[in-house]
Amino acid sequence: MSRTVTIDPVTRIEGHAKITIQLDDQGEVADARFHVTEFRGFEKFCEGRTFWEMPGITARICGICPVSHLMASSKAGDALLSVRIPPTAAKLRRMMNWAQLVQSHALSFFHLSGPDLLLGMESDPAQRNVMGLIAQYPDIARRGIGLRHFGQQVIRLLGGRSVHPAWTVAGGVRDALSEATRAEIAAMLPEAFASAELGLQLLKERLPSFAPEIQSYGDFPSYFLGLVTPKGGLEHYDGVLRVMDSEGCIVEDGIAPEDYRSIIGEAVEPWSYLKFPYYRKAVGSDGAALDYAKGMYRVGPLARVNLCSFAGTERADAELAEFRKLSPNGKPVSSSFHYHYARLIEILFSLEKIAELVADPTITNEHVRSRAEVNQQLGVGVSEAPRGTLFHEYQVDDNGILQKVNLIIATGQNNLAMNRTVRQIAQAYVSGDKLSEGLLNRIEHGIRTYDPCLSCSTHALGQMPMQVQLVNSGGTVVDEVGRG
Amino acid sequence: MIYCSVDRNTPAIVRLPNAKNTGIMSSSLLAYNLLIIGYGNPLRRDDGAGLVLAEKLAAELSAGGVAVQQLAVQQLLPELALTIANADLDGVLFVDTVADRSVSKIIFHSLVDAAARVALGHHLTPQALLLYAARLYGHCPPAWLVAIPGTDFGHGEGFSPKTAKLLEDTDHLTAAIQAALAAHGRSDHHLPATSAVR
Repeated sequence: MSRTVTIDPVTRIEGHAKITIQLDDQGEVADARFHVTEFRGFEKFCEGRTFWEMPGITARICGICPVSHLMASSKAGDALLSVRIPPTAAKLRRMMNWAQLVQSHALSFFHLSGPDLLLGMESDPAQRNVMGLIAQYPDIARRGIGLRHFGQQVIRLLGGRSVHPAWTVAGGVRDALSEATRAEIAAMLPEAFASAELGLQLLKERLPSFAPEIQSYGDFPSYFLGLVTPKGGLEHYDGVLRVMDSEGCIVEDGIAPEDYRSIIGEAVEPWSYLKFPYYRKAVGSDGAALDYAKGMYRVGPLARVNLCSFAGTERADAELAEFRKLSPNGKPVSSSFHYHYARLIEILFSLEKIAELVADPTITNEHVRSRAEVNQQLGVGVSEAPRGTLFHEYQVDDNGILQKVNLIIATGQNNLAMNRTVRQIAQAYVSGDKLSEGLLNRIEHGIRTYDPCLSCSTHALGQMPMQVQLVNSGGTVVDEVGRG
Repeated sequence: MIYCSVDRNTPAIVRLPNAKNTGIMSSSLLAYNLLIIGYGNPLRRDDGAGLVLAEKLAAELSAGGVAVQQLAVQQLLPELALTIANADLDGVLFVDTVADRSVSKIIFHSLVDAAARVALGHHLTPQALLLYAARLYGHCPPAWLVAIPGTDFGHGEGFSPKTAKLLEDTDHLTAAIQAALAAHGRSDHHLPATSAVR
């Protein structure tokens, strides 16, 4: 006789991740859904405000990656003004964006995934947490904090504050870089490089022991989407959109960011507030609503390192060559478990690019802002956030008042892939009609590979408690576990 | 008397000078260094109440003779452990919003570096930060939590009537914090940091 066990997550507000695993008549996993139950109302909230306010407002969507929203928002503002920002301003924006990447990726790898990666998926659950990590690997924990501190310090030095800096604006940036600040950033780099390389070494040493997880934590064919430089290099701030299929063929290249709608469609489902973006051309024009999942694509670190033809820096290119040996015959690396690996390569790349910029003699030029009035009524800004490609599209009137706002966030674009990942893990590890602590941890880690940022527009929601339901073919909840 | 206006979104530490000539100055508190960390999202209504309350407490405690450093952040993150582990600190005050309709008053209680688990998301608890500071950097000052009840977490600025009312009168809270500081004394909070095994 089946029974229902319910453990409600104790959440501060209603937002949490809910996962439903559907069993078929034979008791095998038929499907799994990753529900997002918090409504993000920022797009409506912004209508009626001036576009000048948007960097400040949208940055408050997220306490972890506000810089990403600052970048995309400022770039949308540049488009509304129809200005070409001064070259030094673009370099400074890039520097801040790379600093953001370092601190965000460091949090994901060293802090959130570190316990599983360093202590092992099957280690004692009582120890497989941050306390266990601190006890066994205190130096690693300090390295992770040090890398976060580096990224936050660079953001603070550039923007005057590390969270919600109001320094990036439509037309450029507010303040130039001083010689003293340049020297301060340069002095912090050696330790940051050492920490990044230690992280890479640790992960590569442990990869062979994660063979089962590599096969079941999101290993499936999909498209990959992201920005690359015009020559195909690794890009995080500007460039053009590229799409690669699961065989490694580049199916879209050189797409101007403002033309993103030509390749991306958005579907909705009644069971999740998160939209389901898809690659439009993979879906039949007459059946988009039914088969949009065929257009599943992934964004973020794994997509970026798969998509680019080269990184463009010495150490990152060496690591990229090694990374690509994971997948033969020129195919992209397909397991989402390798988001971790890709993140570390991107940290290294970001540090190398920051080092390049602090050595650039033009980086302290004082002309850092172009000024203009509204010259266009539609502006699109695209950049690469730590979690993937971020789109801001603003429609304004002649006075710059926002009439319509569309934001496509990175986590949303990985929505289909996260659902597929949960299903794959459930199919590999669910047995019978009981959910175990081990399964919960595996699902959590599978989602964590994408480092999702679903509901951090309040800090408490950032806790993202998780609830997993096992549902039989008759629709009855036969088991339910949660943590929160 | 407010000595320094603090942007509630500025995470950089703001030092508020001691007040030496105010009526509420307590000479026993003059030597205390207190870090106040307010956190929340000012665009999610009551979620931002902790930030405003932190600012207010910083001003009042400073006027009372405490050397206050103030931080305002959207959420607690690991690198704050570096700031907490500052050997010059005598105490840390976390100021947050609590979403519990059964709570009718501002909560104030002490914290210890109890076991802390990291959840799926990007958020730390005060206890986890204290643990980081103690185990990784060898210094963990006494800490307290102040939590103001909130009910409206929708998009926008401003507070619900209940939360706004609670923000008005904080004299008793300031006095309680001063008493807690004085009761704790200026002990040495240095701890052996966990040594490396690798």
